[in-house]
Amino acid sequence: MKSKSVQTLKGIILIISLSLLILIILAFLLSNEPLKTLNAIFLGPFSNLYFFGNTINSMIPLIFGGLGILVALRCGLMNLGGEGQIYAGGLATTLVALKFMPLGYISIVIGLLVGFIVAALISGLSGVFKVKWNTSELITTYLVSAVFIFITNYLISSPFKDPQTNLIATRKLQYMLHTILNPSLLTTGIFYAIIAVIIINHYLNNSRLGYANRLVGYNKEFARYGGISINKTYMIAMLVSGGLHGLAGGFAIVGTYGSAIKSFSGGMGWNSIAISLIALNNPLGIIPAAFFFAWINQGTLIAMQSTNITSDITLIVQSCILFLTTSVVLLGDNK
Amino acid sequence: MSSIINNILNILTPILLIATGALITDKAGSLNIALEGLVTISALFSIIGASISHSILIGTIFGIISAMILSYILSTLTSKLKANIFITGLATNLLATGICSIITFSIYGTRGLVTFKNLVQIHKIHLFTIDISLFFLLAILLLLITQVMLNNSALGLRIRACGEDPHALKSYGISRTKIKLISFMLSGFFCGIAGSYLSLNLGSYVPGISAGKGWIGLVVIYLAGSNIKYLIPAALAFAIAEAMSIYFQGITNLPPDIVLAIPSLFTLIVMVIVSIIIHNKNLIKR
Repeated sequence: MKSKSVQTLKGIILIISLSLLILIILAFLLSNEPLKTLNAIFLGPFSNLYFFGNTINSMIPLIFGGLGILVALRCGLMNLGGEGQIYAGGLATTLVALKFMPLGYISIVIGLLVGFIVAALISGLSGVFKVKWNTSELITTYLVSAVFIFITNYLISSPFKDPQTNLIATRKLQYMLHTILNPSLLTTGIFYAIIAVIIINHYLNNSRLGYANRLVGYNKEFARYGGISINKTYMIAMLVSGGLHGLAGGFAIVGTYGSAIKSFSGGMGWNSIAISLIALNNPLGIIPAAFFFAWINQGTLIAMQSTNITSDITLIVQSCILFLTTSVVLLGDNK
Repeated sequence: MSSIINNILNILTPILLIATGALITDKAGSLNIALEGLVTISALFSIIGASISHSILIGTIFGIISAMILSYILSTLTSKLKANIFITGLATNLLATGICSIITFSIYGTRGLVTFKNLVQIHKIHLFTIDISLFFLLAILLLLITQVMLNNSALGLRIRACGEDPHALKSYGISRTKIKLISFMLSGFFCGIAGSYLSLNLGSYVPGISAGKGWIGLVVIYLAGSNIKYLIPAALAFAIAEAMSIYFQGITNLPPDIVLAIPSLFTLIVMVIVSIIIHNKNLIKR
């Protein structure tokens, strides 16, 4: 057991090193000032309080999204609809929080709650298809999400667009989470994200529902013999998975953006999958994994401002990690 | 009317190509999630190739090679690392998006639309008022060749055995990894042609040029019950639906975002209906 976890840890270190190596090679290939670029990528996020706070801040939606994927994966399900669930959940949070604005900070709570429910229903729809007719959730989550991305685009750019601004965005919230590291964007959201990690960790490891969730993912037939309802477990996993994505979008709004801006969630869903995989299905691993992604993402953004490189190089790092993290050869069998 | 038929043929061509290629991997027992990425990378490389060489053929070859290299990487890495093919497929899609936007950004200075001048037009045969492109004829021809290959050739038998009875394959001393690699390379070949058609027909490259066609390709296979005979009607259903949505956008005032959602929505509905039918069939069998 021990040697297996050592192998796994070695594997993860190898994967991260390989991905960083590719990032370095790309910087040398693409930038005319590779050292300046690399300096900006790796040290930029730590160079001052502003960048550091922003890096930690961008972890918040990634943690929620990563947890969302993890809950589904632990049940043996794949949720490829994160992008749409985060986006629609974020819009729902914004609209509801705007509606309940007179209630002050309570509007944020109601907004997040509705964001959770909306996204849970979106992914729950794929859960229903799966449970009732055994339709592959892999494809339906993606398709449902694609539909909701366009619907959300439409809602943001037409009926709910704020005529006061040039951005394609809704009206701005008056009440948002408090910032804690001025002048950076970091908010109290990070504490809620950490609380969510603790709750999900407890849920998956110590609760009855979480036990069912794990058992169904591990061995469906065995779970069935044990009297666990597979269908019910699938449904709960899909609902919780979607709901957490909704919170990812919601917290991005009430923490950082303040209004639902068109395509604000671009890429968060795919990032979440990579984060959940690199966390090796362990909720506590989500925090360092999200930090790694936030660091690289923020670093390339800083590099893009100061040198001639596009932040799209993070896509390469992300795909590299996805390529490697399910490797049985590198990590051993992690079921 | 003829414009609708032209639209249908225009949409059918890439879907049919993608689905034919993906059917080969499906027969070999794996679901190729990377179709979207393979199409995207070929779309960019073929238009670059065509603008350099002023030749559609050379452009297409560029596209095919790029998609085949990517599917080679996907298949080899997955089997060498013993990784999960869904996740690596997903990774390939992201990789393709990343590579394409890095290339357009570093060569053309934009992450958006790249238009090319002096491109050669794709040759089309005018039949009454309908334009039939050579790519469409090629798609049909390749479909027939694939059908013969799968049903009547040694390779086809091996590909099917790889999906249906890997042990039989093993007992003949044929490597499953090798057959899977061949099936992925063939899928890359087809996606390569589809990608070339998309960008060369448009005369430009845009991010997201595949616009969900890879996913539609997968659902087409599902709708056809993995039977190559039903591939054309299944692909046609999607092409008609998409052409109709373009048509309705013209005559009604539907917001463009909603119109863009229609193909995915339609794909979803078809996917669910087919799974209901399969589910009920299985119930009766029992």
